[in-house]
Amino acid sequence: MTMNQPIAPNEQAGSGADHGQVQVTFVYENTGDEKRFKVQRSATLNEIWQEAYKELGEQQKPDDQLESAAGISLMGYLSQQVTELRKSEIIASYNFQIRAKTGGA
Amino acid sequence: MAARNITPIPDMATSAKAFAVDLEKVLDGDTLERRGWAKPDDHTLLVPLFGFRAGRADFYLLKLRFTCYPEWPPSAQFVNPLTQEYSSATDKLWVPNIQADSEFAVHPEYAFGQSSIQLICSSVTLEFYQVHHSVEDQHLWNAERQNFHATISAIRRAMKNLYMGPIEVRP
Repeated sequence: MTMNQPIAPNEQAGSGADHGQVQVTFVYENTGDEKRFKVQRSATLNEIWQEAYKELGEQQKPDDQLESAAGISLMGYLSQQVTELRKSEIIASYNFQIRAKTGGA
Repeated sequence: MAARNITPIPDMATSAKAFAVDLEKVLDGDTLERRGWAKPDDHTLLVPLFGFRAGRADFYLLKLRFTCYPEWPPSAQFVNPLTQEYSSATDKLWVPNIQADSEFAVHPEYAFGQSSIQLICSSVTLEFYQVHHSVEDQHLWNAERQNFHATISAIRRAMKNLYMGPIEVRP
């Protein structure tokens, strides 16, 4: 995992400027499309993942995987709040990527 | 959409046009120079990659060729950076040894017809379909949902997670 970035002042819970929201970024590996949008601080990882498909105009495939920007699988954390994951340093930023498995070997 | 057991047929004009469109999308305002990529002609993209092991960074050059695109993925080959071509007789040292998993493998000399080819064995490369490799439906290349970014991502991921050094020792 890459070194965690310190939590910036505007990421702190209750900071007035963000109206209880946090900005997240998703990259769809199949196309390289990138979407940036705001979500509620209380949102779970699965909720923002589903929102990302809407923003990207893509449909979820059964074996799609959600990862941090560093390529670490986050599939075991889908029910957790995204801000809690950031606080506990499971994720180093609010940047994510969606990858579709490929066939091969 | 790609299909199994069908041999891709080149369409150079369509490929060049689709490559140009998708390159602009993938760059998204960035430039080839800033990405470190090169486009020597209308059908080719050169992408430098590194494999990391034991404090070393090994250099590789990935050559994508767009000849049956976008219906099929680009051809993907690790090439000799001096010639920008690949010969299994002399250029294996420019091919990474990747620990194969269920999604990815690299074969420097894969028997195909009367000869052999380098096969980056993944459903996001043209060669995978040229050799009529088995593939599940959900992994078939889908031109409406994928572009060459998927090819680079899959290869970059394998280089990051499964890299074991060059196939042949470098001098």
